[in-house]
Amino acid sequence: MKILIIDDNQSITDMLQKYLRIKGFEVSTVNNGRNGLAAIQKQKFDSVLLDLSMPDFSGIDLIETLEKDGQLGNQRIILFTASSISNEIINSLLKKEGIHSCLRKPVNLSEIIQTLSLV
Amino acid sequence: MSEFSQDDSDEHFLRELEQEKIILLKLEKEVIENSAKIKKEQSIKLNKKQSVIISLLAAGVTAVVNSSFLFVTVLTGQQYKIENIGNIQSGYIIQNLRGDTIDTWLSGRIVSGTVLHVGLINAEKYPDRVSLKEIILSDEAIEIDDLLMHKGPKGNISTYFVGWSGSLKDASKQSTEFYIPTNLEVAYEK
Repeated sequence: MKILIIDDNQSITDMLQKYLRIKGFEVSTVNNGRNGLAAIQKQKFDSVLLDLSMPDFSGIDLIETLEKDGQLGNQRIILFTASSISNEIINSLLKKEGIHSCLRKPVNLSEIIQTLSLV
Repeated sequence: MSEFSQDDSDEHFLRELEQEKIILLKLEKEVIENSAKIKKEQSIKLNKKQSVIISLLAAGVTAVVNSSFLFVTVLTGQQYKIENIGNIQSGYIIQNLRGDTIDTWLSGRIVSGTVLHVGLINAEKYPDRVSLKEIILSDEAIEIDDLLMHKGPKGNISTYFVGWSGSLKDASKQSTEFYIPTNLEVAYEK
């Protein structure tokens, strides 16, 4: 299962990549929204773990760009955020095609794996 | 959307930190378990390798021991051989009543007091009137004048035994270097 992790916190992307690889996932990482968008446009991933709160080009910016380009429906995106974004905004994002679920940090790794397996 | 990208609140920082901690602990546990598993697999492989080496060594030792036993058996057999007996090549002679001999070589060690087992092969080929068991187990002795057996002048009497048992028992009365078996058992074999 090919996974892309987009998160500006490099400690999280590095450690999560190692952990998920041990668990048998094929994992790529990027640490900003623009590189994440480029990676998504370049190749198909089974699942994208997307941090919403990133400087310069956030996860929400990425979703809007994909939506505008008509590419959002092709994705399976799991929102991954530590910010205090309201449930209303989260729910509105979850209604979009291609947005699968939302994990709020901190979250147990078993929950991440379970969510990835369900996608 | 910039309100989210610039969210640098303490709460956000703490959540990120907590998430790092969770991943780190889990990863550490996973790495330790994985390392232990790899070590165990390596240990099993090493044990298998050692087992193969030990088996090969054991096979080598067995071969050497067997060869030694064979060598010792040959050497032991030599001590039964009777040397300097004229034209006869071997140390053993089978002789019938008429004096015909068969030159043969057979060695064996029979421990004192043990039973000598005699196996009769293809016994059914011989006439029914001949009791093979009697030939081996009989203790009966007969006395025949040497003249009749063309061994000597009339009046000299020699003792002949009908079976092996009687002759062996008679021979065992004398002091011999090796044990002469007197307790025989006969079995028919195919």
